[in-house]
Amino acid sequence: MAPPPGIPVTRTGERQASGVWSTAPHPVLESAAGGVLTEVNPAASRLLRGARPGVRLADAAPAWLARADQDLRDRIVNGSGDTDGGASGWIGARSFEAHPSRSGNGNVVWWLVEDTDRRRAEEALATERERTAFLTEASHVLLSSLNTDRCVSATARLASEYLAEAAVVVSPARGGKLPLAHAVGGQDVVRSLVAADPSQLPGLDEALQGFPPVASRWIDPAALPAWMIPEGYTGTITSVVITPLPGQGVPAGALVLLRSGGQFTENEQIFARLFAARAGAALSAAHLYAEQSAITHTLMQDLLPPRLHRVNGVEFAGGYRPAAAQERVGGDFFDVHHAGSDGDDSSLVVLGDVCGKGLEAAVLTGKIRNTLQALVPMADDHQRMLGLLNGALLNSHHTRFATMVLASVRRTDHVVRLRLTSAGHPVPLVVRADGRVDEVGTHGTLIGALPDIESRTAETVLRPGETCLLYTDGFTEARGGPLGDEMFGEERLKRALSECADMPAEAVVERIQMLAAQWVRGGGHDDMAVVAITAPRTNHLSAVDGHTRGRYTA
Amino acid sequence: MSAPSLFLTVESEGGAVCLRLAGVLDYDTSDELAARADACIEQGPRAGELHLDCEKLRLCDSTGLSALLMIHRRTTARGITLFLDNPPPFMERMLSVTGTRHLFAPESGKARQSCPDEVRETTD
Repeated sequence: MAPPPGIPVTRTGERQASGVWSTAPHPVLESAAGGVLTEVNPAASRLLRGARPGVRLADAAPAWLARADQDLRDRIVNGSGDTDGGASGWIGARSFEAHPSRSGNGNVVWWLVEDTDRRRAEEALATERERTAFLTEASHVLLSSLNTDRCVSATARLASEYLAEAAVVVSPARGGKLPLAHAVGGQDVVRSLVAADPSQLPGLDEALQGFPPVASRWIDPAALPAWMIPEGYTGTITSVVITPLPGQGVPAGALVLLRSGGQFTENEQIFARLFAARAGAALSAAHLYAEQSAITHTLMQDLLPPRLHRVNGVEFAGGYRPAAAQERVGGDFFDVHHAGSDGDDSSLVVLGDVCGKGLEAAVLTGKIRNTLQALVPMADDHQRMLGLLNGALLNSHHTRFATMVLASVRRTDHVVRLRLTSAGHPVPLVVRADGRVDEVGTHGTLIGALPDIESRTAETVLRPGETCLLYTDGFTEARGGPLGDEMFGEERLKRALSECADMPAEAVVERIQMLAAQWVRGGGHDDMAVVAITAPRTNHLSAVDGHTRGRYTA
Repeated sequence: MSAPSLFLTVESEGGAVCLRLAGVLDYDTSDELAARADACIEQGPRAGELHLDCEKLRLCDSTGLSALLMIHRRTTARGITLFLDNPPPFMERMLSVTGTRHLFAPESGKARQSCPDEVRETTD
C-alpha cells in the first residue's frame, strides 16, 4: 500500500509544522541523528506510549522500527542507495507499514500506516491455501490405495501431522473390540485392538454412529481413557476433537484429535471435519473394494478350473488363460468327472465357453458346472444331459448361452474310446500317431437360449500316443501374428497339433498354449481353455489295474 | 472407447423393416442392437419381416450372437420373420458351429431390394 497522497510533509522541521502533523490521520514520528525523537504527533503518542521528543526511538518503539530508522540513517550518511525504503511490523496487536521521508534538516519523518486488516486477510488466505493444498494432498494419499489398513494409517498420520499433535483413528468395533490407529506428529502409526467401550469417551460412541461432532469445548480432556492416549505421548492433553468419518451410508469410524497446551479453534474444528469427510470417503471406498475382492476371491476358489491328471489309465491335461489377469474367472471352463459305475471306469470331460464376461459369465459358468456335476450319472446319454442342462438354463429375460463339448472317455485294453458331443462348440481335433489331424464329426445346438436343441454324437478311438484336443474359440480367434491382427485360426491350430503326435497330454497343452501366446504376444485375447485327452504309450508293465502308474520298460 | 463401434441404420419400405449393421457387434454394443431391434419390432412391420443386413459387420462375438437370439425370440413371439441378409463368412461359420443358422430365414435373392437405399432414420 502506498502512503496516502496529499498529506503535507514539512521539509523545514519548524516547530509549527507539528500543528500540521497533529491533524494527520496517521501516527507520525520525526527522529534526528542518533535515533532521538524530535517530533511525535498525538496519534503516534497514543500508539507508542513513552514516545516523546528527546526519547530514543529504540526505547519507545518496537525494534523493527528502530532498526529501519538506523539503517536509513546509515544509508544517508554513506550517501548510498535509495532512502525511500520503508519497513513494516507489529506494534502490539496492530500491524503497520512505516514510510520514511527526509526533512530538510537531515531528520527522518516516519509515517505509520496501519495495515492490520490486510495483513490478517493475507494470513487467512495463506492458511486457506495451505489447507486446500493439504486437503488435495490428503485426498491423493488416501485414494491412492484401496487398502483399508493403509487408508486408516494414512488418515491417522496426516491428521497428526497437520491437524493436531496426535491423532487416533477409531474403526467400528469388531467382535467387541475397537481397532485403533495412533499417530503422533506425523510419525509411524501404531495399530492396536483394544477391548474397550467407546462410551467411555463422551462423544466417541456418537461419532462412531455417525452423529454430528460434539464441539471440542464440551469434551473434558481429563475424561480421556488411557487407551486413547498414544504410547510415549508425554504432553498433558488440554483439548480433544472427535469427528465422525462419514462413509457410504454407514460411518467408517471416528477421528480423535489431541493437543496439549491450547484449544482447537472453531475454524480448526471445521477444517478437521473437511478432512474427515475425505478420509471417510476413502475409507469406505477401500472397505467396499476389500469386500468386493473377498467375494471375487471366494467365488474364484470354486470357479477356477481344476488341475487335471491321469485318471483310469488315460492322461488328461488342461490349460486356461483368462482374457484379463484381473478377472481370473472368465467364461471358459473345463472339468473331468468320474462317471464310472459298476466297475466301469469311464470319465466325463466337459469343456465349454459361456457368452459374456466378468462376474456375470462366472456365475453362469458356476451354474453350468454344478448342473453337469449333478447330471454325471447319465453321462451315457449326452443328448439327455444336454437337454436337461438346457432346460435348467433357459431363462425368459435373457439369451445368454454356453457352447460346450462333452467327451465320455473309457479305456479298454490299450485304446481309449471316446464319445464326443458338441453343443454349438468348435469340433474337437484328434492327432493320430502319424501326425494326421482329424476333425471329430459331432455337431449340435448351443445351450441355454433356445427351447429346442439337437446334437449328434460321434465316436472315435485313440491309439497309444494319440491325443484328442478340446479347445475354446479363444485360441482360433486370438489375434496377433506378424501383422498383429490376423486370427490364429483353425488351420494353424491343426498344424500345431500335428506336431504333437506321441506327446504326453501335459506337453500337448503346454505346446498349444505357448504357440498361442507367441501369436498374440502382448496383445488382447479372449479366454483360452484347452483340454488334451491322450492315450498313453503302453510301454509300462501294466501291473494292470489302470489306477497305478506301473513300472516302465526301457 | 471414443467412438461407438457399431453403426445402425433403419430403413423401411413396403412394410418390411431393415436394420443395417456396420462395425463391431460385441459385449459393448450388443445391447444397443437389441434395443434398436426392439423398437422396430414394437412398430410391427406390416409385411411381417425384419431384415438384419450384416454386410458391413466386421466382427460378431458371443454376446452379439446372444443379442441376435434375443431378437429372434421376440420376432418369433410376434409372428415376424427374421432375415439375416448378406452375412459375412465369419458369421456363417459362427451360426453353423453353434447350430443356429436355421433360426434366421436364409438370405433371399431379393435381400438387397428389400433394403432400399432410402434412409428414414439414422443413428450414429
